[in-house]
Amino acid sequence: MRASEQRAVKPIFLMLLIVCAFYATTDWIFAVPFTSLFAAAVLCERVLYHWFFWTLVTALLGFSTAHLWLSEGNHLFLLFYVALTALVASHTATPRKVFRQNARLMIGLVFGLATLWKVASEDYVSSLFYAHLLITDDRLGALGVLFTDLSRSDIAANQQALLRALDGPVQLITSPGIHPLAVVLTWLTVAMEATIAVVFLGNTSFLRRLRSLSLLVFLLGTYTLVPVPGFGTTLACLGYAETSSKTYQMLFLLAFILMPLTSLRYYLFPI
Amino acid sequence: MNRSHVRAILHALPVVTLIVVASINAVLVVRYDLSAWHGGGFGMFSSVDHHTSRFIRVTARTPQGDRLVDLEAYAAEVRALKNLPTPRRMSAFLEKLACAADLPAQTSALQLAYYKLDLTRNPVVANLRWQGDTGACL
Repeated sequence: MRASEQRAVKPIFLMLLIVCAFYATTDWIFAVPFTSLFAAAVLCERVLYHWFFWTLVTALLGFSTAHLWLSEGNHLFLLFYVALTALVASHTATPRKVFRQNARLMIGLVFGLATLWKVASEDYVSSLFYAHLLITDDRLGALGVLFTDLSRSDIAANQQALLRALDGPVQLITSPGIHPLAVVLTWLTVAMEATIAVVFLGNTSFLRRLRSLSLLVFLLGTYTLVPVPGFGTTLACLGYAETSSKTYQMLFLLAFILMPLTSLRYYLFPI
Repeated sequence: MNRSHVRAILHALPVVTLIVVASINAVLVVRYDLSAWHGGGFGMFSSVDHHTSRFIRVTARTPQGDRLVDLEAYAAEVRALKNLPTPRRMSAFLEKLACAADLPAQTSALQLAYYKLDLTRNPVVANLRWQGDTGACL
């Protein structure tokens, strides 16, 4: 790999290893080896560009995904695909190009699939999904409290009520303001995700210009509200890999660095 | 097939893997009740049908009456089971539990019931979706 290519892919490789070491899984059997691999790459930069190193990372992610696929979220799958891209890239003379092509298609497909599942789901299109989350979820409940007359204790009471549902029907506390808010969130999310799918999968110059901007707006809008650092940081890494604009690369790096801090909201302002 | 073809296939491998896994995921969701939140199909945040709205309750039959079995030690396994609750997997889990040592004394049979919450209604009700029992190891 040429030195200029190494300089170009180094931040992508490191971001990927940081996600593996800190956000991939809480299962220590996998988390500990990821931390060792991250330490090896930081302390001995040469290993970062070696195909064998990425074979180890990809194999470990493959094992953890196969072992935890029913308990961990989809971020583990996405991480595995990014690691597979790193493995392929480490074999070629043009790793930057390999990353750019795969990152574009991966982002497009992930958001395309997310949109398809939403529009195919009855309880999503009827706004039941958001209506339910707004009155029961720790993360989205904050919006329910902010925009309706629902209180924090109502959300806590609903969470407790659901745990008793096996013993008989339970009444959830709701508010007239929840449904309109749920409708807005439902279609805003679909519009945002469908837009990202179209601009990343489409290939006209107009769509190309919107790619990084649309993804950054999504990262900012979604992950400040619903902190999912594993998925958010992986998307920021892919956003960085896809763009050739230095400005957008800096913004994706900034998003990558700041995103985990959004989890602090739970501790500073619970619900 | 020349070298450039091999290179093109190799370069596309991550995306092709994503498409294959997502297709398998769709089949599992439609046919085997896999929660769309899991399994590499990227259907998270699309449905209330999540492991938090699925419940598994195991009861031990004893001479003193039915006792609930504490599943806390099996939390990760139960969560995975709720996400893909096929009858075969539930029966296997039940047999595994029946052969475990930490059951109430004089247990003669174990019963597993799988419920899903109907969140389309308020009051919310839990619907029984599957039930099975075993006397293995007991």
